[in-house]
Formats: sequence, C-alpha cells, structure tokens
Amino acid sequence: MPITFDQFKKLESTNKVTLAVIEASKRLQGWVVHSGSVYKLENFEHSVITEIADSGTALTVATSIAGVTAGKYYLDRDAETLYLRTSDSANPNGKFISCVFKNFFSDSGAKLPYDLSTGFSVLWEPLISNTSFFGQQIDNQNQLGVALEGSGSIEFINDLSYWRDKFDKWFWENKNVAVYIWSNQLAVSSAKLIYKGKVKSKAFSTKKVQFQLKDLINELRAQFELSNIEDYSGALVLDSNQGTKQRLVYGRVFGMVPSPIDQVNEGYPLAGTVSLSSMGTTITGSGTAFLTYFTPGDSIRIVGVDDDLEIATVTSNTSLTLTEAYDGITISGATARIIFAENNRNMVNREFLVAGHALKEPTTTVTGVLSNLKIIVADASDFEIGDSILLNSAYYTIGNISGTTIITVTTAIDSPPANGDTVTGVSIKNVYIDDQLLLAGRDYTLDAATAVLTLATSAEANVAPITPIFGSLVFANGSRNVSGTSSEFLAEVQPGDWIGSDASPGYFQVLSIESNTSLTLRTASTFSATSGGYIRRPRNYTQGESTLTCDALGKTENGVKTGAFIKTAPGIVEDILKIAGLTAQINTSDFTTQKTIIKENVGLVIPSEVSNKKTPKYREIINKINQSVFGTLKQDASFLFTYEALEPDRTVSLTVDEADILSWKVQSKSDRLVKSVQVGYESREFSPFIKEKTQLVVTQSTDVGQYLVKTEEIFEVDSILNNQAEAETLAQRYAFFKEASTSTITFLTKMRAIDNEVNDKVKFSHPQIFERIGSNGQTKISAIQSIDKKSNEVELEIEDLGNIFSRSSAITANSALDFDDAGDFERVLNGYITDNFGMIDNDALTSGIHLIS
Amino acid sequence: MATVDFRILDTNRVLTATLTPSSEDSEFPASNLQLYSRARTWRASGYFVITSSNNKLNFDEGGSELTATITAATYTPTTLAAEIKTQMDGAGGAGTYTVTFSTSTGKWTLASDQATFNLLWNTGTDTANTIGDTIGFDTSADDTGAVTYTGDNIALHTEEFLVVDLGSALAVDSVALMFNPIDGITTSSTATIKIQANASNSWGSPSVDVTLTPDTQDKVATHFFSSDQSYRYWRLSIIDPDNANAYLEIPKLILANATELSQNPEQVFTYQLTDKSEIKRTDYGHLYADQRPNLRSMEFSYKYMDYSDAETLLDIYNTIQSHIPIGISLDSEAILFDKDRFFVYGVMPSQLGLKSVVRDLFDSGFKIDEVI
Repeated sequence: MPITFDQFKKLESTNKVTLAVIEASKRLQGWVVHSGSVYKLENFEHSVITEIADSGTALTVATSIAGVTAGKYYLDRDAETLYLRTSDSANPNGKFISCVFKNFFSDSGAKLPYDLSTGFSVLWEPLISNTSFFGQQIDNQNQLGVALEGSGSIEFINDLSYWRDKFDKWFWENKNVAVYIWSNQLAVSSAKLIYKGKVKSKAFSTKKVQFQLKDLINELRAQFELSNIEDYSGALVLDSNQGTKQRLVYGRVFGMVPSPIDQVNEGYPLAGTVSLSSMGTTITGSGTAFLTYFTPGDSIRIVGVDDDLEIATVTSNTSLTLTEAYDGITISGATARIIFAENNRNMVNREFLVAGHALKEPTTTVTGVLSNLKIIVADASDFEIGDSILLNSAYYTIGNISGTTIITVTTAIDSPPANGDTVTGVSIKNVYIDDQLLLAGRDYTLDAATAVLTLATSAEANVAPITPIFGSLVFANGSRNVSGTSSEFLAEVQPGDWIGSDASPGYFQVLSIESNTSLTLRTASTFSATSGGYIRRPRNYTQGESTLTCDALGKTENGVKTGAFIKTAPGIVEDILKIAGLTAQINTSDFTTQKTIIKENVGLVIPSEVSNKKTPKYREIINKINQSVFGTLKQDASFLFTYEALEPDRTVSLTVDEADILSWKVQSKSDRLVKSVQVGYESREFSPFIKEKTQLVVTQSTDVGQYLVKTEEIFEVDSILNNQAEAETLAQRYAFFKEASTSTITFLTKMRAIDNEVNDKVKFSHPQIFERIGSNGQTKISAIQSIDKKSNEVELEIEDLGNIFSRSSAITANSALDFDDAGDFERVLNGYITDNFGMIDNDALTSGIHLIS
Repeated sequence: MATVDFRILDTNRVLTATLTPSSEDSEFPASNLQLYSRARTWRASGYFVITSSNNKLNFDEGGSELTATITAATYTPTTLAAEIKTQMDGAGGAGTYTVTFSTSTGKWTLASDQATFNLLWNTGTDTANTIGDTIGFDTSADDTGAVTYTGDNIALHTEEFLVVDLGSALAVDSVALMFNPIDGITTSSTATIKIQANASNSWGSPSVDVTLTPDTQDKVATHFFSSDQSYRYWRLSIIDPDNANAYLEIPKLILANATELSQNPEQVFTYQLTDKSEIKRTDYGHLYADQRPNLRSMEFSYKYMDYSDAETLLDIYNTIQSHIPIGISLDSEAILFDKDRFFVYGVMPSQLGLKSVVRDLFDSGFKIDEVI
C-alpha cells in the first residue's frame, strides 16, 4: 500500500528515484501520402507529443485518423505512425513542420506512466547519473523580493546507442525540463516536482552528457517589449523621438510626460490636395484647411515643385496667395506639406499619447443623494479625494470619500442627480503645459480608450494672462476682419495673439495685422460689438521646449477603460508576468488574494522617462515594486508564480533539530546594518514648477545602526508608493528589519524539507547553536531565504528572524501561557510586552522582548 | 568434494534471433529483449485465444436469457472488447452494450443501457464454456442488480508467449529468465512459465517443455540442460492472467550454449554482495539511507590453465570486453550451491591477464560485477 508523501519524507531509509522529463524538438520530413491530403510519417519514435506546428503555427490533435482534417494530426502510437494534414492541405514536405516531444529519463530505469498519473507507461531511460541541487533563493539582504533564478544541471551517462543520433540532431535548447523525485513506496501520482525550467545549454563528452538548466524566473531577465511611439497609428513623431516607447502606466502616477504624437518633422502633412498654375500667385486647395494651419510667412512644399513657396496671405481654407509668382510647370491635385516659419506652429503639437493602452476610467452609479454636496454611490473604491468627476455633464471635485460609497464634492451639484445616474471619474488630471494648469473639457479632452490627450485650439489662450488693448475694437458677426479706433495694432498685437471684446464673451486668434486699425482673425467673429477689448498672448506648447505633464490612472486588467483597475503591487506584478508571456505559470488565486492584502497606493510608468528608447528588464521593475511593499515574487511547490509580502507570520512549517541536520553553519553579516533608511515616494517624471524629476523622501534611523554599530550606511529605497504615511511605514519596516538580525544558518538535511519554499518559517534548534538576543534557549524561528533540492537531500539557508519576532508583539491564543510559564520556543513564538525600559522586571537579559499574553 | 558445472553464458542466441511475441506494448516491445539492460523489458499488451470452450456469454435484460457467442479467434483486449460488444448487441435483446478493458486495473467492464442487466455466469445455459473466467468474472454466481459490472479478477490474457526463431537449429544448453533487482519478480507466484523448443513453429507437443520457477530472492529463473538441445524454434510461454501489476513483463531472456572450460576455477572464489545504498549520519549519529539494490560479484582464479582454455577465455574477452554482460553459472547442476544464487549477470573487469607459469600453462582469473 503506497504511503503519502508526507509520510515518505519523514522516513529515515527510503528508495528514491530521480525522474526527469525533457522536451526536444526536430523538423519532421519524409512524409508520404496516406490518403488524399492526409500524409503520414512511419516509424515515428516519439510517444508523447507536446506540439506539432506548421511554420510556428500549432496544429491541433485529432482523436483518430478519420479526424485528421485540415490543420490536424493524429499519432497512432502502437503503429508508430504520425498522420497529418496541413492547414492548407499542401504537402508537408514543402513546409517547415516542427515537432516538440517529451523524453523520459531516470536514474533507475523506472517504468511509469508518462504523465505520472493514469497515462500509458513508458521506460524512463536509466541514463541519469547525477543532478545538481535545484534551488530557489531570495535576496533578503536587499529585499529585492524576486527569487533569484534557480539554475541546475542534469548529467547523463553517455550511452552512445542513445545519444549518438539525438544530442545534436534534436534541439534541446530552451526546451522544458521537469525533475521529480519518486519512490516505489509512493503512488506514482505522489511524485514530487522539485524543479521546472528550461535547457540553457548542453555538453557532450565521452563519459557524460550534461544539460545546464535555467528556471522560469530567468525569463524575467528579458526586457519589456513595448511598441515604439512612431508605430502608433497616425502618429507624427520627430526623428529624434523615434524609438521612444508607448508606455505602460500602472496605478496612479503624478507628473508624467505624455508622448507627443503630433509633431512637425520635415514639414507637416497637409490634408487634401493643392493646385497652382505656372506663373500664378494663387494656390487652390481641395479638401484643405488653410486657415487652420497657415500663417503668412509660412511656406508650402508641394510634391512636384522644387522649391518651397512662401505664403503671403491666407485667403480662405482653399485659397492661399504667394509672395512671388510661381515659375514652374502647372501643378494639379498634388499633396503638400507645411513648412512653418519660426514660431508659427498653429494647430500642431495638439495630440499626446499618455500610454500604449487604455487608461482606467472609473465609473459608478448614484444610489442615493444625501445633500447637494454629498451623494451615495455603488462603489467609490477607484476614486480618490481631489479627483474630478463628471456627473450629468458637469465636472465636480471630490472633497471627501467616506467608506467606499459616500462621495462629498467641493461645490454644490447643480441639479439633484437621480439614482442610477453615472458618475465618471477622469483618467487624467493636473494637466500642465509647463507651469500652466489646464482645465479638463475646456482646454483638453482625453479618450481613455486610446489614451490620447488632445489639446483644444484655445488651450494656451484660455490660460494666458489678459492685457487691455488700446482704443476701441469693432467685431462684426461672421467677419474675420476687426477694425480699431485709436488702436495701435502694429505695436500691440502679434499674429497668434487672441483678442476679445469687453462687450461679449469669446476671443479669436489673430492671423495677420494689416495696420494699426485693421487686423484679420483666423476664424470669423461670432458676435458684433464695438467696445474696448483685450489681448491674450498664449505661451503655446513649443515643440522641443515645452513639457506637458499630467497625473494619470493606469492600465486595467482586461485592457479596456472600464476594466478592473490595476492598482496594487501584486496586481502590477501579475500583469507584468502576463506581458512576459508567463500567464500559464501564474497562481491566479494567490495573486487575487494578495491584491486584497497588499493594498498600498502605488504608481509606476514604464519606461520611467518619456525619452527612454531602451526598456527596462522585467526583473528590474518587479524588484522596484517588491521593495516598495516588502513583497516577494516566487514559485510555489507547483512552480507557479505566487506573491506574498514578508510579514511577521509565525506559522512554522518545518521543524528541524540535531536529528535532522547532517551539517550546518552560521554566518553573521554586518553589512546589512545601516544608520538610516530613506524611502522615496510620489515620484514625478517632471515637476511643472521645479522643472525636473522629483521625489519626496522620508527617513527612519535605526538605534542599532546609530548607537551600537555606529555605521554611516544609508539604505535607500526608490519606491513606487504614493502616500507619505505608507512610505513612513515602509521606512520603519526596513529600519526594523535591518537592525534585527544579521545571521544566516545554512544546513543540510534529508527529505524533511523537500516541499518547503523560500520564506517558509523554520523552527531550528540545535544544542550547539548560540543563544539569540532576549532568550536563553537554542531555538530559532527563521525564514528560508534559499532552498536547494536534490532527489535525496535539501540544503537550506535560513534568515534568523528570532529577534524580529521577539521585538514585535502578536495576539496569541487565550490558551497561551504567561511569560513566566512559557518555554523558550513559546516565548519566541508569542511575543510578550516588556516594561517601559524594554525589559521584564528590569532584567537586562529580557531586553527586546514584548509581553502580550 | 564434487565437481561443480561452471558455465559461461557468453553467447545469448536471443540477441540475434527473430522474436515473435503474442502481444507487445509499443513502449516495451519484445525487441527490448535483444538489448542488454534489464530495464528494457518486453511487456505484453494482452492476448486472448477464444475457442469453443470459452466463447459463450449468457445474460438477460430482465426477460429471457440471451446468448452472445464470441467468434473463435485470437484477440487483443481492444478487439475482444469490440467482439463481445458486437455479439451482445446482436444477441436479440434491446440493449446496447459497452465493453471495456482497463489497462491500468487489468479488469473488464460490461455495461448495458437497459434498466435491467444480469450476467448469468452460474445459471446460464453455457456455464461450461463461458467466457466469464477468461475476462475475470467469478462464475460461481450470477452478477445481478446493476447495469454495469466490473470483473472480480484481473484478466490480462489466456496465454502470452514469445517465439524465438534461431533461423536454424542451434544448440542451447542454458536458459536464464532474469528480472530486475529493483522491480523484483514481475510475474505472480501462480504464473506458469515454460521454456519450450521444437524443430517447427508448432507447439502442440514441443520436444522441450520445461517449467521455469523464478527464485524470488535472486530474481532469476534458470534451467541448465545436461546436453545440448538443438532446435530452431524456442518459445517462452507464460500464463499469468491475474498478475497484480496489471501487466506481464519479462526483463531479459538468455538462451545460450554455454562455454565450459576444460577445468573449473579454483575452489577458492569470492562471492560478494555490495550494498549500493548511500548512507549519511548526523553529528549526533542519526542515520539516513538512500536505498539501492545489493549487487553481486564473483571473482574466480585459475591455476595452470592450459593453452586451449586460455585461448577460449581470451576469445570471450575479445568479444564481450568489459561492457557486454554475460551470465556466469558457478554450479549449474546445484551440486554444492543454489544454482540461482550463484548465477550472476554481469560484466568482466576492464583488464584480463594471463600469466605464463609453466610452458603452456597459465594462471588467470577474472571478476564479474552484476549489472541491471
């Protein structure tokens, strides 16, 4: 009767078998017609196929020969014949048909089901001669929070009858590897997976064949693959900006710089076509909008015309006059580009791409009205104080949020909303051109689905200072001409200025000034008035000089603006894993749980600067996220990615003592002790006022580092946190962590720890271990920071967390003993509160112990 | 002291013969027997001979008895299941039947889509020639009260065999059926295992018909003939239908005409068991073991070997070197020792020397280490 794995791992004498499944691939050739468009390959030696693909496109498996229709294959294992029909029913010999198949190895010649379950049995070739330890490790020193890559190797006996035609003719590189331990004392389904990765390299010698392996965490060494900004449909991008990236935005970010996608490069493409006659001075447009773009002094570059032609006047949207007669051949229906004169940039640089994906647009519905300032909504969890909301076509600012359902706005709601009315948040806010704050709706619009921000024509004019104009202005409704009385247009007004009348709202851009008493508007006046007037001289967004910044909400889980907002550290890490192509390797339920536990307010833009042409590595970003929340990305026992935050959880999952430990050593490191910890938060890519990248910082000093060790080291964390209180908490946690312990214990044991993981808690006791601070015993609770597994042994490196536990209190069970009655281990486990001097009954030996009972 | 019969099984005729199994699992074909490793095995996939003595299945659907008559022929489990279904569906009842064989449990299941389905193993008309026992049902009582019945016993075959065609009549005097020390004996204790030989591929009354009994301790079944048996056809016959492994597996078969030198090795020899287990202890003396099998080795020496024997020994070594396993039987007639205990399947050392001591007489010796 098989025993359980839990029973097995505690046995002192066991028969252990190492099993390995390694995939390989090769091109399939030599097909012969079976029937019609179905081809077959006889003497097919592979029993378990992972994939058959036609030029990289996977075919699907059929359940019988009759089921082999276009794009399918069937393996008759008993007859060792593979049947296949290509997607276009063409002869597969003319195509690149590849096959990935599984190969089974062991150190004992086991004959077990190929799937270690109920599948058919195969011989696990008895070729394994040795394996390395396979391990996972986390960097507790720097709390980077991503398990380091697990590497390893498998050595095989070089039996030439096996390897001669396989080592080089099959492709093993980058193929999946799984290593298990099993015993004939166990059910086959109890085989334990101890490593899952890929072949990194291979080696061949007369005695052995060796595969070097890398695990899936290694995949995180790759760089983000983000589309270039010029690849965005319709984007006009300056040559020097080509290669910058469509960025990823997560959470709430401040002061980010959207990418301009409406830039003037070598001219600016003019919509429509133009015609002009030889020796003529008039350009006639078709489908053109000359008035929108041209200013006298600009030039036009027409396809088929050698020289740029300077514009004298902009008569209408379809008529321009030139400063000189055109002396070339007659041109008809040609495309053209605008060559702007210095400082003329009308209606360009108006579009910006905030991100390469949809931005979260929070929405909820009104479920009740408490006052003209306070409403109840279905769910306000994606809103924050200070956000703008759109309710019945009017914008309001959130002044307070109570719980997750009550929103208070700062100005009275115009008309009482009804239950069911939609409340829409804004995806961006605090939009600045340099230090000019723009107003949503009036100055810009945002399409959250495309993440494109569009500036209004009058955006800069709207925020420009107002200067009275000398004399009196005459506006005529429908006319582009403005006349002045006692005016001095030539001295006061410039093309591009906006002028308005004191008698009527609205202002218009000046196209040209003909005299001190006459000027021409770019668009016709919408009113008639004779009155004093004013000038608005805008500081227009200037390509290469201005900076547009905004605060933004980032990506959603399903990629559409109404999807679930990715706003927590685990949520961001999960999305990055998906981008890295590791979706199938994610323990989804674990991430879902962690998103409810690790709720710090975070924000992150990738790459961090709009000018970056190089993307960071996945791992660099995940490290930054993890450092911000004390989080860890690791692989679980099934080698799925999981996430957790390091917490003072005292649940011991492994107990070892001198009976279990084959060898051990302790190493203390002093370089972890620091004088203080600095945590940066609320990063801004560009501050409109400081004119550079900024980040707020909180500092926490450590008593041990300052007074006992007297180190000058400072530990700096560049966090993605947005909140000062959370940054302070993080600083305190790091300070606490970095002064608590400096010892690691490394020990070798047998199978007892075979299914433990990094960060698991270990109760370690040994008669020859030193006493920890605050205790007279030789028991420690430690966290695994490195675990290396073989089929018959496990080596662990554990971080001594005993001091952390002894200094942090916990709520224990009612049945917990009082301090005086508690044993050493229970004192470690429970935490007891000390007196005001950090001691119990003024006993220095108890310093650092908390007492709660 | 009596003289033992020392045999060197250096030429296994199975390696070059044509092998025809009654059935084979494609993952473990009979051709594996022509490889050296005992991990590479022949595993049968099921072979059923249906004759008039086991071709009837009486059942009912709540009414009168129905009889399915299975066509007399040889079947694999798959084809037999299909044939039983065909005959049950066509037996005159209203039901449609499902017949399956589980390769993981080795048991047969019969199921009906009718509300009533009884298998009349005991009270049916044809209990004397029922197929029930053949497919693992206890025929001492009917199966009633359900619509799906799974056999009481494992039923893998009626018989499995392997025909070894040597191409022509060749002498064989030693037979060894070897199992893997790790997996142990993979036939059940009730299995009937025979080695047979005949001049033709006809097995009604073979000229050689010897029962082999595996030694459970030494994981081998040997038989040594007192004289050469020269036949073209040899046959390994196994009847083990209720093997608890749910498969029948043979790791290695040797049919050899053993080399016998004119003189035996010195009576002082070394027989050694080596535990390959890996033992580790903690500082405090606690012991942990990774169990591995015991492997056998035997070391022999010769004094004053004549030149002819020396040449024979050198010829053997030139052929097998130190990487081709051979069988060594120290006492094939079991005059002094257990013949199975002192049978080793192993390889020679990496060096073999002859020391000339007097004229054409040599001292020599070798050690053979068991391989799996």
